[in-house]
Amino acid sequence: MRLLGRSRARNRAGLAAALARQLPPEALALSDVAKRAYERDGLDVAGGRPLAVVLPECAGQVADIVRECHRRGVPVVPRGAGTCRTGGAMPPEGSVVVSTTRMRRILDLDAVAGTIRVEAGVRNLAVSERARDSGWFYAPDPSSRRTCTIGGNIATNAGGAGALRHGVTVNHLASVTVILPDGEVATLGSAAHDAAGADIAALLCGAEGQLGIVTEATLRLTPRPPATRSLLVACESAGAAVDTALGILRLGIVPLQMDIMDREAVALCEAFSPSGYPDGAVLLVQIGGIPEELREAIERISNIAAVSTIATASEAEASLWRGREAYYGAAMRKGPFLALDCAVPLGDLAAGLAGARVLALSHGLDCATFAHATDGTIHAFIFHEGGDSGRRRGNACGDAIRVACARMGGTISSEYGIGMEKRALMTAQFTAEELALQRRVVDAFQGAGDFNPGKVLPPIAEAAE
Amino acid sequence: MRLFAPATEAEAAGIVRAHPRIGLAIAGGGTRMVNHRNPALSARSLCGVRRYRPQDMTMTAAAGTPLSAIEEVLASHGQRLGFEPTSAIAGRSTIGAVAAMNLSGPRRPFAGSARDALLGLRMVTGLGERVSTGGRVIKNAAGLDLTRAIAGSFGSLAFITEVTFRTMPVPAAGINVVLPGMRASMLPAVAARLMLKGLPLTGAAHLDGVGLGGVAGAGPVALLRFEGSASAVAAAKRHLDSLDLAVAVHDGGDPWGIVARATVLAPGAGQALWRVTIPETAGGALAEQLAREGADVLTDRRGGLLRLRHGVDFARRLAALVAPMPGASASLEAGPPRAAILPDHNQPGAAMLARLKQALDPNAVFVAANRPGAAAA
Ligand SMILES: Cc1cc2nc3c(=O)[nH]c(=O)nc-3n(C[C@H](O)[C@H](O)[C@H](O)COP(=O)(O)OP(=O)(O)OC[C@H]3O[C@@H](n4cnc5c(N)ncnc54)[C@H](O)[C@@H]3O)c2cc1C
Repeated sequence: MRLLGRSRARNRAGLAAALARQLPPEALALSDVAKRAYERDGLDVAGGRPLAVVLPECAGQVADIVRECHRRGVPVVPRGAGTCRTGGAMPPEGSVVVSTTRMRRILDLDAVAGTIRVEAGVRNLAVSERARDSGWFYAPDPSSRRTCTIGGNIATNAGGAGALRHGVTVNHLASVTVILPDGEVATLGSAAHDAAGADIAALLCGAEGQLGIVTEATLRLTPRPPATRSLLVACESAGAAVDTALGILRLGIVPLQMDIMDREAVALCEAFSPSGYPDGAVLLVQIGGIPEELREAIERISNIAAVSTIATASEAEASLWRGREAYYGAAMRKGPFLALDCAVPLGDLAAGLAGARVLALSHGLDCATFAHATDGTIHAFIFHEGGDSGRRRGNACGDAIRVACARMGGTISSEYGIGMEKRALMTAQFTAEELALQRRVVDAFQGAGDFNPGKVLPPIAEAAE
Repeated sequence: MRLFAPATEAEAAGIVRAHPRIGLAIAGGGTRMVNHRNPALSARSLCGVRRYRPQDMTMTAAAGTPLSAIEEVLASHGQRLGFEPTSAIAGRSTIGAVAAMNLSGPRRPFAGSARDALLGLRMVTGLGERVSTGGRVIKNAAGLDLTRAIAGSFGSLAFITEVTFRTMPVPAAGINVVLPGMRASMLPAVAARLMLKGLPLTGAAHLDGVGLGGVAGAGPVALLRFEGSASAVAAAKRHLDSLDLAVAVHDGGDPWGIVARATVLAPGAGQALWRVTIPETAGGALAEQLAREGADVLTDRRGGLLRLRHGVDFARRLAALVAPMPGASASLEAGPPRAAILPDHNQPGAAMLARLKQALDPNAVFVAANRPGAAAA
């Protein structure tokens, strides 16, 4: 039921005026400067020029906007903080960007239940900060937590290094309010465990804004461990670091975080922000609990691994992780690069890391890698010579590594999602039938609406319609 | 009633394609009722662990694999399913039913639900497609993930053929503790305080008027469980001892099996057993009110799940009590059909479920099996 070209153009022309009638002036950005600011997300490739950028401050306004766009056949692109690294929040030409950045209220915290109700534009870290005094924290902790929003986290099912112990966004979503592509408002789930509708709400997790705009969510919090300790284990190689990490899991210890940096990653970080890492690969482990339990765990880990540093005070812990956290900056200083987020089964992590290195070498490119030994994520940074040809070569190498991970029973993306950037790779992980099914689900939700078009599903499945 | 029990996914797809308009009811291991008017499709012959390497911390198995077989394999490697799968008929449930019925146990509020541990699945759609959704790794952000929506649809969207779950290490130590005299309404806050101290609480239940297999008297009693490293469990015990409470270690039998299956509440003649799911902070107070009105009540999940036994006619009163409470819902677990509490017709997500049905099973080949608790007699 697509509108014909001419009437569509007329519909679009009237849209700005219609929105201006419905919204307060501060909720509507129509200037070129404003529109240009929303052309990109964390992928940093320019998308199209949106028709308008709207910044609603409540769910009612979002519903009005979505209905108006639906009526006029104008595509809608939901947007949080725009930290998406795959172009998932990039608008196509002539769309309306709905940004949640003015929906920043934390509505209530229940310190006994350990639940918190927030608007979609609330920053991830703000949730933990708000809950801190009552002893809780919000467990899904993407590295972008200082800026990314809860709405964006839900749309990408974001998760951090603590996924093994505490799960990802979907495991902490008690209920959600969503504006569907036709403007209908649905509230799914409740603060009760396993409430009716909660599993349908889970469908929104990782849907990358194709099924609706999240306006509010009730999140489940996790008790903050009373104490933490961080350990550094110097390792011969990344493979040896994986062996040690799996050995720790075999002890029955499930760390809060457990990251591996290969020799190249350690050298890169030490050059940028010296943290005293030894030459070679390192394994960084953070455990949490009561002090007695941490003492016991450290003793048991020391029996199987040559622990070279144990940080007990929080400043010492921070400095141990500083190098690892400065990773992005260190990479930027080295030169143009591509950052991967593919994953393999934990037991195949050593093979996955070795395979990534071989593929980088065979493309004639440098790579430095860190990995989450808690969930199998391989963050390989592929350095290229920049420009179009450099980017092409980097992408070819990155694609080869992602495909290799999928073939090992893993995934082409464990964190950043598919967006625009990785659409073509979806065929490496899903069969044509599986992609067609995903397309049917998106269509069933969109009806005549058009929500975040051109994302996630590969063009082939679209063409096959 | 005709029963199909395909031995392979391909065979299952063939059966679905051969019955485009008949209406197939999906059955698990036969432990739950299905709609008798329709031919049934069962996963019971889809059997076997497909992939399990302990170091992956995941396990993939065919949907009809008995839960007991899976628990045995995991235990031999020092692992388990963290959510404490519990079914009414121990040993006979299949792993597919665990996913589809979300059979989590008392560990639910502390370790997540069955579906929290469910990473992905394979299925046959109403069009006879054999597809997978979700992933087999701990974190996957690729593609639309239908896993939980399918699992939560009670067989109305697709026939599940294979599931992948996360696994967890079995903790080194554990202890059960009884706190006599504690009121049910205190349970949520007491449990929260223990959790926030970093103590490894993995069970928080309360019984009123039903005893616990003779261990505790008939008065109100709280039952707590701590599981973790030896030092963490010892610290939990020390902490409780330091409080001014009459704490007793409970070390006979399996009290959590009794809690999970509510065996102490088996209804007699003229009685019924209902379950109420409710936000934890409201559950304790409701439990007290129900006890005042003559019900025998078992509170689990830190207040989030109540089981109550009362005369069959109490159904009306229970429905009226629960209706105005946000997020709460009640259903019949055992007893005559007239004790059933009809589900709210405005089920949240019903419209979205209909959209999914259109995508997964447009010809309505699958008819939903009964929900657990709904007229299970
Ligand atoms: C330095 C860096 C580190 C990162 N580390 C991690 C990590 O560790 N783990 C991880 O998972 N991700 C990580 N990311 C990726 C990104 O931060 C996450 O995907 C995050 O969840 C996006 O949130 P956002 O608010 O920025 O959303 P945006 O970038 O604005 O949007 C992301 C997607 O969500 C949709 N969306 C946004 N808001 C809504 C809403 N309210 N309703 C519906 N759809 C919506 C958009 O349409 C888009 O498809 C990282 C990114 C960067 C730049």
